[in-house]
Amino acid sequence: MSALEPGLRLGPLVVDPVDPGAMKVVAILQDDPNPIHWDPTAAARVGLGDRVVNQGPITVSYLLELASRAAGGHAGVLRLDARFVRTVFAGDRVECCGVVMSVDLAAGTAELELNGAVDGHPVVSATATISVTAPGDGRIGNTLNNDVDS
Amino acid sequence: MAYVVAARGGAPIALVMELLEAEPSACLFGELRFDFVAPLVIGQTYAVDARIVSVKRKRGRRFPVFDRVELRSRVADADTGAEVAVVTQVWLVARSEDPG
Repeated sequence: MSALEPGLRLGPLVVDPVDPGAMKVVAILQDDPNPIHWDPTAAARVGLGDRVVNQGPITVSYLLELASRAAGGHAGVLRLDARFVRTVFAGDRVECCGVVMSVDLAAGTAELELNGAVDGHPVVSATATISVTAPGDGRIGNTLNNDVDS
Repeated sequence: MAYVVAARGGAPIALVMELLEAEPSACLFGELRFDFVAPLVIGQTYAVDARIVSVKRKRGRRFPVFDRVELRSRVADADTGAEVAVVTQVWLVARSEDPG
């Protein structure tokens, strides 16, 4: 039986600080040619300040993690649709929260709204569909309040 | 992992930028969508079919003129052909002029 019900709040999941080392690794993994992710002077050249820029997929991964915790594991996330609102930089503190919008027991799914913010300013928002029948660990209320050390 | 598979296996970022005749500094990530059918498994070989599905010229605040480019990558089990994930990216590519 799922503990998820409409209105249930998810998180916060906190990433503090956003790690520039992770950006370098991801840049290599995805063969990203954009130096704003590893060279602060490149970010400055295009008017983005003096800190390297978090890759969008890393920022989305924070919300994906929040959704997966609600689903009891990554296999329980069926869909995640994210929109980028604002740039995230190395050293930022990203706080991610969400809410269960609806639960369809017949379909075995729940719809979530998820948001990430830096200093109260939205940086990414998403909707997600998760399975409510996937094997969970029964610790939904606890696991959603963990911080993430990046 | 699905994004890395899609980016490395189907549509390397540098290749997409070359196709769009865009510099990295002119591109922003607008949206990113994952549809998961099955978990990706370490050690499994996947086939990725990536295509640019739409390019729409638009006007906005951040970029006065830009193209909204939708890129879709289908990740499938290389052995069975079964779809395991679809990754949809929307890039916003700044353009210096609007020929239309």
